Amino acid sequence: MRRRYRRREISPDLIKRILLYGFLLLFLAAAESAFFGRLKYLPAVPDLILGATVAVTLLDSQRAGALVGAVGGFLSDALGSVGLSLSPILYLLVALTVGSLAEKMMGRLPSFSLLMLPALLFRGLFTLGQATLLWGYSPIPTVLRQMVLPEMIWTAILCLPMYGLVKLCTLAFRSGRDRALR
Amino acid sequence: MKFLKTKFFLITAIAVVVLAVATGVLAMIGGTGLLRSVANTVAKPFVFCGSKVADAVNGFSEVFAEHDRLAAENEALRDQLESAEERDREIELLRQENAWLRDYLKIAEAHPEFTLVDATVIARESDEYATALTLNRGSVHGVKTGMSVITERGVLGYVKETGIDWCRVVSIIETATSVGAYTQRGGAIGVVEGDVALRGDGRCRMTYIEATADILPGDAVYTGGGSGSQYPNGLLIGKVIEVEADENSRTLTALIEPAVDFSEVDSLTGVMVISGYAKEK
Repeated sequence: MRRRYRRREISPDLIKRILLYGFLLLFLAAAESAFFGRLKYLPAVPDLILGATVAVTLLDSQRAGALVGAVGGFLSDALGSVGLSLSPILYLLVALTVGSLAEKMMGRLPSFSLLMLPALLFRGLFTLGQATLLWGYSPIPTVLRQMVLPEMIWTAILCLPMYGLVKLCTLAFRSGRDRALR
Repeated sequence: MKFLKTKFFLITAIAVVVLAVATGVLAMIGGTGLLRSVANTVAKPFVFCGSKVADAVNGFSEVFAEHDRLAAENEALRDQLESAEERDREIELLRQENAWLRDYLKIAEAHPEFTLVDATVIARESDEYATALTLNRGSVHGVKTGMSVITERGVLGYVKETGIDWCRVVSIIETATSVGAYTQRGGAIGVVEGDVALRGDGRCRMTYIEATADILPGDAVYTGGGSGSQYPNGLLIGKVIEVEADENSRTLTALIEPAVDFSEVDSLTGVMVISGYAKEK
């Protein structure tokens, strides 16, 4: 018997999500490279895509978070770096980790703050690996003090508004984690 | 963990890895992928706005950063200016010291037998003509009571009192002083001494001049030296202004205007003490 494949309908929600998340990612990637990257008196550039990935994974779904992370990572590397584009891999891992932990959490700000901890750890390890293995910076304590820790701190501070931004986006369409858990 | 086994995750993971490798390979050969070009083109308006906002924020924050930098630079420049002014003052003092040392050099060259000690006037009597001066040299510098004190113009006086690092000088117009003297032109011999009446005008007189001596107004008067004299021979005292006959003693008396202007002694700073010279036999 031949299998019949039903054509999946593209729902209005899906279109809204694509547009909203797409716009959000463009905005965040440009903000990282063109705004925060150019500020003279900021010690490190915060990773806003990381915060968006965690927020989407928590407030929407693991699948959405993985996609947002992959596309966001690609955009961030396209605008701000040359060479290997490894950020999508990082954000995919973050979405996987956060997604497993977020299954049992409510989509609230404290949960978001808690889930940022493993995400920041991933980010720190990723930066350390890039700096030491790819770019050849040494010694490791200096790299930690001057690159990794400032980036983690500023990311933790400036990613808090990501929760609010993504929450606004999820309000625009029906499928949100809170609504799914109802 | 179920998510890891889903088709969605597998496709996404493969796509991400392929993209990572593709961009890396393209970067190595100097190319840019299509997706990367499209991403840059689409994000261009956002990047443009972001950079403009960043420039505005940088400009605003530079005001505060520049303030601190300018304040520090201002402080440093003030210090430099103070140092430069201090240096100018020192240079001026050195210039003045150099000028009077040059004058004294002429005396030293004219009298190689003199041993000179430089001194500075640090105090003076408050009088119409300050004739008693305090110098900043004393016994530790080799100064002793009775030593002659000169300026670049001529004789000032002699040391009346000596301390450890100071001494008091009595001028040649004081009534307590008298010194054997002679005129250069005519060789007239006499005694230069202070006079109460003349002291107020900053002058003194030369007495005991022989009636037949050749002495005229304008003649330069020098110290006679000799044993018992406080002053060495050949130091300029002043010039003759007037000569008059003393009816009682049949001698001449000359009015002397000292080479040192005692009306301007307030401006006198550097003097020399003759701490040693070869005495005439």
